Parts: sequence; C-alpha cells; structure tokens
Amino acid sequence: MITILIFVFLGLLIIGVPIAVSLGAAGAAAIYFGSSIPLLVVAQKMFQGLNNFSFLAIPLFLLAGSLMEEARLSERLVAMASRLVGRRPGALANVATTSSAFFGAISGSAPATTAAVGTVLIPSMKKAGYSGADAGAVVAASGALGLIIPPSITMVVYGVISGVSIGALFINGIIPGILLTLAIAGLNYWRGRKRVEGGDLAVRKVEPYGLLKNLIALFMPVIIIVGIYSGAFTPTESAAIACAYGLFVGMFIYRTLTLRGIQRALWSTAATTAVIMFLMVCANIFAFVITTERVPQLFATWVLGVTDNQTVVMLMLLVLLIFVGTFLDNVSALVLLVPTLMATITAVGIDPLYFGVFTIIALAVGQFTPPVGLNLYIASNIARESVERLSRAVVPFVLLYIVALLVFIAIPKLLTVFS
Amino acid sequence: MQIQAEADRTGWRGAAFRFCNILAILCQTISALAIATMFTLVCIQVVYRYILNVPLGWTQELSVFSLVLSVMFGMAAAFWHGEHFHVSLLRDNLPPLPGNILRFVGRAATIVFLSIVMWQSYTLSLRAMRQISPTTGIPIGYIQWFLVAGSAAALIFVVMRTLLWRNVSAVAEYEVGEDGK
Repeated sequence: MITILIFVFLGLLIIGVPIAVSLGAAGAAAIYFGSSIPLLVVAQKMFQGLNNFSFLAIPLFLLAGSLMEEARLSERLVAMASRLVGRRPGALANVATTSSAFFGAISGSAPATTAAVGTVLIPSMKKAGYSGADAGAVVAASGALGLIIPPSITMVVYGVISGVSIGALFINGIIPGILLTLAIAGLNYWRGRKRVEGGDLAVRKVEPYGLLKNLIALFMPVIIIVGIYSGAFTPTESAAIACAYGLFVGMFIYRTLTLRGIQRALWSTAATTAVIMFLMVCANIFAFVITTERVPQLFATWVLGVTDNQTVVMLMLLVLLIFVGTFLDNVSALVLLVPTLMATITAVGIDPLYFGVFTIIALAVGQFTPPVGLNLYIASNIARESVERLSRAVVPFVLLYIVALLVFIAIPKLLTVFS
Repeated sequence: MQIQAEADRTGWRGAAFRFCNILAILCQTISALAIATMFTLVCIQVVYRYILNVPLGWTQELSVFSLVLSVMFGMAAAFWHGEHFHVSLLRDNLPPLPGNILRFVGRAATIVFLSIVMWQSYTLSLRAMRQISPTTGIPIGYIQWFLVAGSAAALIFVVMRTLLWRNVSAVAEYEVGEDGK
C-alpha cells in the first residue's frame, strides 16, 4: 500500500498534476490496489475533512486580510514605517521591512504582503539608487514575515492539522516575528551604510495621515490574539470579529472600502479558500493511508534508532523542511509532513507548539527562494528584474533566516515564550 | 482572465469556452456567496452567545455546510483557471512533444480521480439520506451532494481543457495560485 502511495504521488507530482489531486489520487490508488478497503472511504474522508467547524477560521482570516487590502492600507502603513525608520542608513529597505511586518500582521499572507508593500516601495527604492534586484530581494524576504507574524493563515493550517492551539501559535509567533524583523533591518542597515539615497522620494510624499488613524488598522491583530488567547472567543469567532472590524474600519473610518472592494475581497477569499481547503481535504485521504500503514510510528522508530537527541533531530528536520519548502508551497508542505512527523516529535519530547512555530519559519524561506518562491516572482515582476538576478540577491536573507533558525534550535524558549 | 480572450473564437470551441467561462463564474459566485453566508452566520452566533447569552446550534451547522459548498464549487472554478498549486519544473523544461504527453497523462489522472470522487460521493450521499443533522434537521445526504456537484463541475472543466488543449496551450496553464500561504 505504502509503495503504491509514494510512487503514484511522486509520479503525478513530477509531471505537474495539481498537488491536491496527486495526494488524493495516490491515496485512492493505494486503497484500491493495495487493500480490501472500499473506495467509498475516499468520499468519506473528503467530507469528514470539510465537515469541521474549526476549518471556518481559514476563510474568515483570509477575508479579514482581503478586506484590509481592499481598504488600501499599504500606503498608510508605509507612511507610518517611513516616520519610524526612514532617516537612517538603508532607510528605504528598512521602511520596506517594517511595512511588511505591519502589513503581515493584518493580511496574514506573505505574497499579499510582498505585492502590497512592493508596489508602493520598489519604484521609490529604484529611484533612490537601489538596484532592481536588491530592492526586490528586500521586499521578497521581508514579505515572508507575513507568514510568521500573527495572525498567519499557515499557523491556522498547522493548528488544525496538529491539534495545537491556534491562539498559542499566534502569540508565540510574535517574538520570532519581531526578532526576524530586527535581524533583517540590521542587515539592511549594514548593507546600506555606503548607499546615498535620493531625497525626493515618492514614499516620503505620501500623506503621513494621523498616527492614531493608522494605529486603528494595527489594532485588528491585537483583537484577534487577545480574543483567542484570553479564551473569550474561538479562533473562528475571532476571525469573524476581525472581518467585522475590517469592514467597519474600511467603510466608516478610512472610507476607502467600497461595495465593489467587498465583492472583490469575497471572490478572492473564495478562490484562495477553495485551493487551500481542497488540498487539505485530499491530504486527508493520503493521511488515512499513512496512518493505516503506521508510517508515523515507523518513521519515529527509525529516527529514534539514529538519535534521540532533540538538537540533532531538529537539525535533521531543519534540512528536511528547507528542502521540502523549496519545492512545495507551505500549505502543501504542512499537510504532507506534519501528520508523519508528529509521532517523531512527540517520541523525542519536542513541544509540538515549538515545532509548529519553527516549521512555519523554516517554510517561510521557501517563499522567497527559487523555484517556487511566490514572493520572488511577485517582487521580480514589480521590480522588472530577472528572477535569476533576484535569486542571487536574496542569498544574504536566506542565510539570515537559516542562522535565525539555528539560534531557535539552540534557544528553543524563544519560540515558546508565552507558553 | 486570459481564458476570456479564447472565448471569442467561433465554432464549437468558442461555444465550449463560453460555456465553461459562464459555468466558472457561476461556481465562483456560489462560492463567494457561501463565504458571505458563513461570515454572517458566525457573526449571528457571536452576538447571540456573547451579547444575548443564547447559544445557537443551527448557525454552526449551516456555516459548516456553507464551507463545504464554497470549497467544492470554488475548487471546480480553480481547475478552469488553473489556480491549483502544482510543480511544473519538469514539464516546463521539456520540449513541446514530451511536455504535452506529460500534460495529457496528468489530465487523464485528474479525470480518473475526479470521477472516483464524484461517483463515491454520490454513493455516500444515498447512504446518508437517513442521517439527519442534529439542529437543522437537514439530511446529510443533501450536503454530500455539494461534493457530487463540485466534482462534476471540476470534471467538466478538466475534460474541456483537455479537449481544447490547442487553444488553452496558448495561455498560461496551471498558473500558481495567488495566495501561496
């Protein structure tokens, strides 16, 4: 059963079949050819996968982010970041990084962060003397912060798959998010010491708006995190409240959210939700075969045979996560790896919460590395720079993330400060 | 949409494109309306539970059913627009003939999988007609029809893309989804 599963999955994946179909078809083939279980289980597992109230958090968080995007928040956040860090070496690069951290806290999506911040800042950065590749690399690497800084859709997906509290994931994502923002800002500062930036920049012409009005947008993640972590709301209810807040702020305070914008937000949320959830549902069939064959337990036994040292296991997992994250998008990587790795994590005594935050940071690297890093392609498109040149320019940021992950292995407490 | 341009062609190919585009818009609209319904129902639930102190059960059930509806119709439209995540490294680096052969094999596998989902969901729905949801009293079999309808629509899209492959190959196929998260 397991041989059929792996061969069919890899075969279909390599020839370009959608990952969801590859997972589902491999599971169906393994069930049909390798067992006496009726194929009815395919439909059963798909329906079971969808018939779950906690999954509602995914579309509602996506909707909250889309509504804020439609309210054209990016210019406000860039203006605010410009006030904070816009006068030091590497100023515009640091405005991009800080804006990405702010926007990531609202949108919960790395590509959305890259597109929103990049559209406003990359043209200004090029005018200020940055090469297209450098400007794109900063925005692409900073955009990955959207995956780490809560609320993050990837954290919701990990929480749903692993059973780890989404609230705990959110609150423990804050410290690594801030640390990575500071680390990227430090790298920008160091690289920007000799760069003389032009003075007449479009970004500095952006109307500064009132600080309080800008802070109102940033209050949304606070509502979400406090609401969930205090136990007042479930993640799904919290996401719905965030949507209602986004609607209110966009329509009545900023007055930039129109009915057409709400319609666009609903359509884009529906499309994104369908792609993510169909993948998760098909992975349910795949996971059924894996658990029937006791693969997680066998893998855990194999790892424990090699070593039971937590640090060594985490280093092995780091290599695996970076490798898989390079070739698969983060949701696909999560649905594929987490059910298999959970038994190993538990057997070695690693906290699933720590592993969750670590995994999300490791998979964030794949967001801005070739061949599938979506941030890279978005930044390349905005900067009008080849992906090859951008790929070389992101190397320092990739190394920075890897160093940060090694630090998180050495000091695990950094990822579970609030637990 | 790039595919829209293809719809202007005349003959049966043009008619097929127009039909698929209309069907995709219908699927997307149903999916988006289901998201709006889901949001409204969860908000009602929050108001009743926290403000009026009257917990509701039916809102939770209906919002989950809306999710099933939204995902199944949305994923069907995503097949037409080529928005599902995929890895196309090998196929993109092959000459046209082997690349097209791989594409055809991949489509055939997708058609087989969607047919299995459609047929097995239909069988499952017939069995689940007597299973009633606790608060709304809706037979679960009706909800499982969303799986049948969604996979049937997806099947139509994949078959049409396979039949019209010469036209579709002119546009970017299986583009990477916009979300990436």
